[in-house]
Amino acid sequence: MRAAARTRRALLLLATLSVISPVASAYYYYVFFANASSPYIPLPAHYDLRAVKDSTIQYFISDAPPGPLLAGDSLTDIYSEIRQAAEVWNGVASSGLRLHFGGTRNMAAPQTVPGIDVVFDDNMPPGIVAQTIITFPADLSFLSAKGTTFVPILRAKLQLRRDLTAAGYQQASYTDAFFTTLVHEFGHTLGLQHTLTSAVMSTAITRATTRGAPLAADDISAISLLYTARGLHGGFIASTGIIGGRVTVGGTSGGTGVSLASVVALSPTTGVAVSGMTFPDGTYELVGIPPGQYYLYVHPLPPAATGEGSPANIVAPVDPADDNFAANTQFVTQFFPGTQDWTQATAINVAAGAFVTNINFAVVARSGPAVYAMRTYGYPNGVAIPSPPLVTGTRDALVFYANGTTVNNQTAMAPGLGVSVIGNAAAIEPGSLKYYQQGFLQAVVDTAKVSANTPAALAVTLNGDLYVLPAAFTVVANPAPTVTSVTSQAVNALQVVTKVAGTNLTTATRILFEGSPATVLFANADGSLAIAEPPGLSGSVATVEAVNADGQSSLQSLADAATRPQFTFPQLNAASIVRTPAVVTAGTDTLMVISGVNTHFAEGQTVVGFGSSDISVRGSWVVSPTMVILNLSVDPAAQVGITYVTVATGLEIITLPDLFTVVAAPPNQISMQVPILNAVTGMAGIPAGGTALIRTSGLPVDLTGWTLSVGPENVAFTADTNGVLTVNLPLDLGVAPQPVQLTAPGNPPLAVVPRVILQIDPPSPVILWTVDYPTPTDPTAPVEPVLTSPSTPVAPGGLVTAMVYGLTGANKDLPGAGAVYVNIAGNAYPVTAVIAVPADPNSTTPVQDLTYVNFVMPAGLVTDPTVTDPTVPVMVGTGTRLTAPFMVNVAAPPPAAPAAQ
Amino acid sequence: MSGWWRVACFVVSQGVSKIYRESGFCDSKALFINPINWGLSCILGVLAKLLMRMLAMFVCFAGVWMPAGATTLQQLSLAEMAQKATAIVRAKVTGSIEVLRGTDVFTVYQLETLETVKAPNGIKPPDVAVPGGIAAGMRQVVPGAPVLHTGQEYVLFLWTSRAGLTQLMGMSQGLFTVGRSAAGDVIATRAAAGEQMLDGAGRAVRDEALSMPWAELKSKVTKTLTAGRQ
Repeated sequence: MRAAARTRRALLLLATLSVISPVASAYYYYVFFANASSPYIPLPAHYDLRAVKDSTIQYFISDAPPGPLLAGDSLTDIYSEIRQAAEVWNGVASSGLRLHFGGTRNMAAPQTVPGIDVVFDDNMPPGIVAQTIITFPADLSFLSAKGTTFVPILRAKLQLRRDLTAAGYQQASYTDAFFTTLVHEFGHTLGLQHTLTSAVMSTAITRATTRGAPLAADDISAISLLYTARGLHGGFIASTGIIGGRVTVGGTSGGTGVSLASVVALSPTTGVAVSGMTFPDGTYELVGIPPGQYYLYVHPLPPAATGEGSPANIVAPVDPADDNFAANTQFVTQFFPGTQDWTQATAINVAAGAFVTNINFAVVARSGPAVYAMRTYGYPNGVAIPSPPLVTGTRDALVFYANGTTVNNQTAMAPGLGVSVIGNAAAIEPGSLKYYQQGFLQAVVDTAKVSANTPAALAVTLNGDLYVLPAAFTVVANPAPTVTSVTSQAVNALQVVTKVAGTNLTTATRILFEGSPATVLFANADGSLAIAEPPGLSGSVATVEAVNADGQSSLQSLADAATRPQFTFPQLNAASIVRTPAVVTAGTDTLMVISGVNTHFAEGQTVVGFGSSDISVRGSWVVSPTMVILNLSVDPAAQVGITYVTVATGLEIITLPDLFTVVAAPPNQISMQVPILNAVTGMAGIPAGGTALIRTSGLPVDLTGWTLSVGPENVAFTADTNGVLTVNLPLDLGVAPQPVQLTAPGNPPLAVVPRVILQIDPPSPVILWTVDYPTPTDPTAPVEPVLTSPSTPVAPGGLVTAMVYGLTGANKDLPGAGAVYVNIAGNAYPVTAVIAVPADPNSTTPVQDLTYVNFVMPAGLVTDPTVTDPTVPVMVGTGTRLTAPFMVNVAAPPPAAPAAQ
Repeated sequence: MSGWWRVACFVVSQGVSKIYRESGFCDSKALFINPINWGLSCILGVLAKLLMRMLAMFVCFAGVWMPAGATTLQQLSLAEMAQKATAIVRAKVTGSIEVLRGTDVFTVYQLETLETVKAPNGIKPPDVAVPGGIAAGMRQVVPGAPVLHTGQEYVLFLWTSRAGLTQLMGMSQGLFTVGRSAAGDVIATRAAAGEQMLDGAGRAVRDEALSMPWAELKSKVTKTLTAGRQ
């Protein structure tokens, strides 16, 4: 009965979700409407991930570099910060979009494949520090065509000033402001517009994010809904909730819909704020709200300020006729249901996969907001910090400014002004709110005891109006870290590491060199950290910053920039690179070898770009600190000519022009296509002895005389009518990336087919058995693991442990839980734990490669109660290595209730 | 300076620690803000006296960014705009076209100049380009870019790049809408900056909406230009 009810709810949710566009939380995005009247169908603008390889958009830095730079700054530092800002968006696992550093690019070279360009230009008029230009198709007639779901972003340009020392434009690359501005601008290039939740996509007037915590829930929701991830990291919509309703003015039943009103779900306990905006008819749906309890409020967009073209500088949606829909900014802010007192607001419970409807607002008309554009400051260490961290259990001064809060030429506080903290993380001392000076007001804040960072929102009331500022400050459990020195530390007679001394440093602290992460080796007894710095160019200087998991950083409250800790990379011979081959052909996939001199390539850190969005890196393998090999895909429409090669490892960024040429494809060009896939798993890694599938293009039907080699060995192959080669790999191939060569007959050969790389994996892991932990009938009896079987099936939601052989692979390092996944009935799920089976201390046999992998059996896998002894296939994987399916018995759902008689 | 302004400067400047040059813009090592003392620039001079009649408290430290949309702006004072503009005119928009320059689309508005305050070699600017628009099969959006309306009068602070493209200063910072009061006076209006920022060095910018008779705005600008030439 319960299963049937769950099934009905699931089907209802699926039906509901199929109707609701996942981007119904509109106007985070550049929105186009398929029609000019209700029902409004929003078509957001985003990159067409089908037009790029591996859902990856490349971003490039112009070959016309910035300069002059501030003293102590460098191109490497600036490029590192740009790369780290882009990596922030890559860190959103629930987003299916990835960004790849494509290196330096000549901006005059035309591109076919979409991408993002970062340029430095002083042809911008005075008064502009940075701007983002987004390009869409001109013709919008396709908006109303059936099947249209989005508007493609063709390209985006992030434009910074070239002279970074000019008065008024000084931009030091190590500052939080520079970094968060880059993250913000990258967000625009991906298709995000402004929000008013103090997230990174808010303007800096209210933005509360930092280098340590660069994205807020609103940003994560926005990017995850615009580019929804599939597979292991899919399920964002199902794991979050939805709130919907309508905003009207003039009464809920007979009122007029309020267009482009901002609706915000604000948690009074966690400080999380997720927002969306109404359609022209006043309806809205907030999608992607993390489960929890929320107050809901609706507010008008703030008036356009100087330099803004529209309220909050949000570009209004347009319809196929290019008419836009203006925002109604003339109403009073209110909490649901119809109150300006947050203590009277209704807490709405949001559950995963649930849709809370009919959260309607009947707002009151007003000529404009009484209060807007609030900026708060605190003074840790005597330095003004916006949206400050306030340590738990302390008493702090908070200074703020907001339009409308002062009178008499900003010399006195507006009469009747009220400010309170929403929730229990802090409180404003009664009577402490008063005028400070020069238009600023001040209050004393008492913070509560918190164990985790808690953003706190402020509610400001004045003249019958309400203003809410999420994350006005954050109550933090611990003080910020500091870095007092960066020196050398001798570990032993032969080994010297870098030592970072300061306060509040732990092994979980991230140590950044101009944004590039160092490796924390261990903590010293005196609280300092021994680290391995990222690679850097000889003699270059990097600012060193400590960032703790609570988002606080050591540079946040640095009073004097001249005292910031710095590290000078040792003087070494200059690094350089060479490449093989020198020429690639448009429309082919090919292997590329980058050899370095005095380089420090490192797996997982080295990124290679070719200065063109028409050339994609499909796989890279760092063979040694001086060699990296790649698989490239060159678009058939790639521009013929010379392009750059850029190799970046931490702060070691090497760019060489004129190093690489694209040539046009001759007629009947043949190419193998990467990645080469495992015939069993469909993934891009194959164990020796396994079966590989090699897709090709342009291959003739008659393959008489053609040979194929993998690594040093010739191998037999068969070809189907689609040009897919099936290859049984030799058992003695080494675990490594191996070159694959397809050779045509003849001397010279009839055709030249570029080589590609095939990843040879260690043998696939094997699931030996699975157990679960049924609840004993005797409640006093201990819970014991039981082998899963038809008589002891796993209950939905039950914990399962799989014993896996061979999970560690060739390097014998146990992967973390985040690197292991379980595939159940075709869907990927995270694991909860990965534990090495301890060795028997009394045994002399070598330690076996055995691992316990824990996961939760999802519900709803078996829906037919008539199936006898139902099973589901379970596979455990890490990277490209996946076990064979292991059939696990699951409990059948109970039979349906008999029909009423 | 007016007596009122002198008193304000005196009171506020007591106990201030400040490091900046009195050259019309602020050094990077500007004010350090602390809860006890806060200094402010008192370098506005004669222009400040006139500005204070119409504006609310205008506290200016150059070098502050005013993030507005997908555009990050530097707050420009009226004096800075006057000095850095290559042309300052009161003009009516007579039409617009959209053009592609390199890879960027601009909407170019044709201007009928009604009055010139500043012009290079006396040449009235015929048009002003605003980034964004539709051309060559592309639609480019630059959030923050203003939209000018045909038939509307504006006061425009213009800047011509080395490449010969004339644009507005600081997005719409250099754009004043011209209207007429009930008495028939020509009034120039621009939205408030809406920005109040104190960074770690204590720099801050803030102003209120700017609205003043065109004659007065013209006079302020002219005096700034004259002072700059002396």
